[in-house]
Amino acid sequence: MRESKPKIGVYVCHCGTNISGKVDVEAVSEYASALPHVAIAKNFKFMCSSPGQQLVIDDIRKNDLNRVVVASCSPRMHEKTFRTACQAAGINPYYFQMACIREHDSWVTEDPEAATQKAKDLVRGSVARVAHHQQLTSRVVDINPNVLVIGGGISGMQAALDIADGGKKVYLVERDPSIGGNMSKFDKTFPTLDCAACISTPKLVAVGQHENIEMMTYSEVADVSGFVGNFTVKIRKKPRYVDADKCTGCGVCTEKCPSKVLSEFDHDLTKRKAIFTPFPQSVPNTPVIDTENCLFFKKGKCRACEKFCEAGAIDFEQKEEIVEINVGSIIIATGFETFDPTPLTQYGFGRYPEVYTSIQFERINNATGPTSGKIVTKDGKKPESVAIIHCVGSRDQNYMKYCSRVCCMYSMKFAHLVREKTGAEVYEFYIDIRSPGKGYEEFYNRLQEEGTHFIRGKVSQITDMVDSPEDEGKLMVVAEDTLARKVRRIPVDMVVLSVGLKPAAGIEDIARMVGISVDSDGWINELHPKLGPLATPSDGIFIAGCCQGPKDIPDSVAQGQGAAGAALSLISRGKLEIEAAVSAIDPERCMGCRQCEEVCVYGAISYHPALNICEVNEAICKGCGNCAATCPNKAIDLKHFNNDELLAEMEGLMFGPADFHHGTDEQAA
Amino acid sequence: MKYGFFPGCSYKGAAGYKESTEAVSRLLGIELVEIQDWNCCGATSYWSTQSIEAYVLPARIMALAEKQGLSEIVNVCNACYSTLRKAQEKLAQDNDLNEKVNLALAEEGLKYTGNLNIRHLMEVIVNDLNADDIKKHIKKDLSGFVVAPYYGCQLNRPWADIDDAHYPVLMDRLIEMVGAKPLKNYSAKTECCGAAHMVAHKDLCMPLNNRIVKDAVSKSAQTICTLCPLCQFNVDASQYKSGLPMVPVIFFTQMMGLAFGLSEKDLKLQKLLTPFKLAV
Repeated sequence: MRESKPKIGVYVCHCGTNISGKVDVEAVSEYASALPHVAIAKNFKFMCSSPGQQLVIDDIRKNDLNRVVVASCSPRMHEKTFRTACQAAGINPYYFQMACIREHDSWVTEDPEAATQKAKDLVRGSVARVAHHQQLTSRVVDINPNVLVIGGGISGMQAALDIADGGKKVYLVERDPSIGGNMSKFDKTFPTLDCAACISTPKLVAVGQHENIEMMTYSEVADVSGFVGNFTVKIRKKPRYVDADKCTGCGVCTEKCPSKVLSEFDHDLTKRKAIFTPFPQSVPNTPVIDTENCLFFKKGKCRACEKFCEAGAIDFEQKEEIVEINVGSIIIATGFETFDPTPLTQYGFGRYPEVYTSIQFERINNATGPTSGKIVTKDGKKPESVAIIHCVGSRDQNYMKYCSRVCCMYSMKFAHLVREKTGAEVYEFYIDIRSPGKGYEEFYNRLQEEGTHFIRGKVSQITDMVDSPEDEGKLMVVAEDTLARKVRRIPVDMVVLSVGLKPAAGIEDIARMVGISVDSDGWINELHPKLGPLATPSDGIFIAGCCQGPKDIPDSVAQGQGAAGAALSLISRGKLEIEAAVSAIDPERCMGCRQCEEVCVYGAISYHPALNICEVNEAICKGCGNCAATCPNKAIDLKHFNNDELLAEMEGLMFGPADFHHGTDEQAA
Repeated sequence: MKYGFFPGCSYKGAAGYKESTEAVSRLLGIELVEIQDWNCCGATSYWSTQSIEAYVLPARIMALAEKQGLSEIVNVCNACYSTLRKAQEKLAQDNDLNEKVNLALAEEGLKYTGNLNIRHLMEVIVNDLNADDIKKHIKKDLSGFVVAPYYGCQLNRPWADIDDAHYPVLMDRLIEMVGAKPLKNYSAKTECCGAAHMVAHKDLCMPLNNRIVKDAVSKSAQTICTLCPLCQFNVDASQYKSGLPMVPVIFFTQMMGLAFGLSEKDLKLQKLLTPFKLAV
C-alpha cells in the first residue's frame, strides 16, 4: 500500500569514467527526468561518495521525494549504501531501487550509443518498479553468544583460542580422538625450520585447558538447524569405551593390548594398538578403543585393557551419544587430507617399498615417528640419494587441476633435512618452483646453494629396472630434463612423492548441513574471493584454513584468527537485524501441498500439520523466490519482489516511453 | 561367439601366433571372421606422417568390416589395435577429414561410418568369456610356470580404458586363469620394445629390449608372454648374442595352448629364436 503518489528522484552515476566512458550520463539523466513520476533527475561523478549520498538525502528532504533510483553499479556493491541514505533522509529504505548500468552495461557493451540506450532502458525499468515498492521493516533477533568450531587442526584451534580469549564460549568439535590435525604430524616447518611440535603442542594444551573451550573430540557434527545467531547443532559423540573422567592417561592399556593395526597417524608406516591415542602429545590424553580391531569387540574375549586399568576407566558399555548445543555462529575448519598416489601406477607407490608419500616422510622426519626422526630406508640403511617428485596429483588434468601451494616449499624443506641428516644427494623434480611468501624465495636460494639438484621435468616413471650393475637395488627415476633437453635416469635409494592437498573427507556433508556449496574441486566456496574470504553465503557461517583451498600454516593461522574476529564481531552485536525481503505465505490461500517446503534450499519453510499450512521462518529465508514461483495457489508473496513490482519493472524495460506512459499510469493510478 | 577379425601383416609370419590363435579359438568356441581384402593398417610409421593416406588405410579396413556386416574388429597386434582406434577417434572428431577419407573410399564403393568396436583378442578372451569356460579346457598343470606378462606400450595408451595405462593386469588374470603364475612386480610390463625403430635405430632399441628381458630374468620368470607380433619378435630377437641370460618369449595364445594340453609342435614353439622348453 502506498500512502502517497510516487515522487521519484533519479541519480545517474559516472563512476569516474567506469560508466561515463561509455554511457552518455547527461543524456540518461535528461531522459529520466521526463519519465512518469520523476521529480528530479541528476548525474554525479561518484554517487557512493559522501557528497553523492548527501545529494540524495538533501533532495529527499527539500523536495519531498518518496522514491529513489540510483543508476550505478551492481546492487551487491552499493544497494545497502543508498538504502541507508534513504533511511537517513526519513523515507523507508525499501523505497529505493538500483539500476545496474556498470556491470550489466558500460563494462560489457562496446558501442557507446548502444550502452546509452541500454542505460535508459534499465533506468526506465527501475523507475517503473520503484513506483510500486512497498514499505518494509526488518525484524531484530537476539544472537546466541556461543560459537561452534568444526575441526581441531591448527586453524580451528587458533579460532577457538581467540574466541575463548575474547570471553566467549566455544565448542570445538574434532572427529579424531585428539585435536592437532595435520600439523601435529610434521617435524619442521618451512621456511624457518622451527620445530612444528614446539609451536603446536602448546596450542593443544592451551585449547585443552581453556575454561571457555568445551572440546568434543572423537565427535562429529550430525545436524545443523536454525539460522544466524540461533543455530541448533546436534553432535554425535562416538563412544571411546574409556571413561575420560576416570582415565589418568597412564598408557598401560595400550601397552597391554595384544591387537596391532596400521597406524593412521603414521600413515601406515607403523602399527598401533586397538586401544590407543594417536600420538604421545594427544589432547585429550584419553585413549579410544577401535572396535573393528579390538579382540573383545570382534571375538568377545580379551579385556586385557580392563584388567590392567588401575583407574577402572575402561567401559565397554559406552554408547554413542547425541548432544545438542546452541550457538550463534559456526566456523568450519575441516582442513585437508593428502592425495593418495596409488592410481598413478607409474610411480609404483605401494609396489616399491622405498616410495613414500610426503606425509609419510613427515612422519619419518618426526622424532615420534617410525624411525625416531632418522632418515633411513626400510632396511635401516642411510640413503645415498633421494628423489623428491613435485606435483604428484596436483596440476594434473587427470586428478587435481590446481596447484596445492605448499608442496614446493615442503619439498625443499625435505631436501634440506635429508642433506642435513644424511648428506645424501637430493634430486628435486619440479615443473615450476612456486615460492611466494615471506622468506620463501630466499629459502629456495639457500637450497640451491646447499647443493640440492633441481631438475625441471615431470617424472614419467619410477622403476626398479636398472641398467648398470652398480645401481642394483636402487630405484630409477626417469624424467625429461627440460632445461638440459635430455632424458635422465637417476638412481636413488628413496623417493618422496610430494602429493597434493584435497578437501578432507566429509566436507560435502558439513557444507550441506549449513547450506553452503563446494567448488568443482570440493573446496568450500567463500562468499567473495577477495572481499569475503572467510564468510560464506550462509550468514553466521565462517570458514578458516584449508577447507577453502590449500594453504600453508601461516595462512591457516591467519584465517583462523580472521574467522574468530568475524564471529566475535557478529556475536558481540547481541542483536541482529534480519533482511525484510523475505517470502510470506498467505494462510488463507495456502493448501498445505508442501511444494514450497521441497524447493526451499535453506530449510526456511516448515509445515504446520494442525492448520495444514506452511510457514516461513523469516530469519532463515534468503528471499530467493523459489517458493513463490513454485506455489500453485499463488499463496506466497516474496516481499520486495512481488508480482506487481516485477511486472512493472518488466513492462518498463520492454516498452518505449510512449507505451510506457500508457502502461504504468494505469497501474500506478 | 563370432567376431570380425583383422589379422594384420605380421600375424601369419610370427612364430606360431596364427597356429596357436586358431587352435585356442577353436577350443574356446570363438569364431574369428576374417575381413575380406584387408590391407596393412599403416602401423606407427605411416600414422606419424599424419597424411590422408595414413587415415585411409585403417578406415578402409573398418569400412570393409562394415560392408561385411561386422560390428566388432578383433586385433591380435597392439599396433593394429591402437592405429584403428586412433583413426576411429580422429575421424569422429574431424568432419573435414572424415569427408576426405570417405571420398577416397568411395572409389571402391566403400563407406566408413565408424560404427564399430575395436578390440584386442586377449581382452576379448578375458572380458567376454567366463573364467570357467576357459578353465574347463585345462589339461596341463602349469602351476610351477612363472610367466612375465609383457603388454607392450600400445595396448592401453592413451586410453587406459580397458586396463591401467602403466601397470595393467588383464593378462596377469589370464595367466592365473590357465593355472600358471604371473610374475608379480614385473616392472617392464609396459616398456616400449622400440617397434619398427629396431630396424633403423638398433643401438637405441637394444637397451629397451634388454630391460624387458633383464627384469623378467632377474625376477625368475621362465617365459615372457606377449600379445603383439612385433613385441614378440623384438624381445625374442634382441636376446641373440646379447650376452645376457636368455628367456623364451611366447604369445599368450601359445601359453593358453600349453595349458590346454596342445603340443609344443602344434603351437609352433620351435619357431622361437630363444629356444622354448617347458620345464614344469
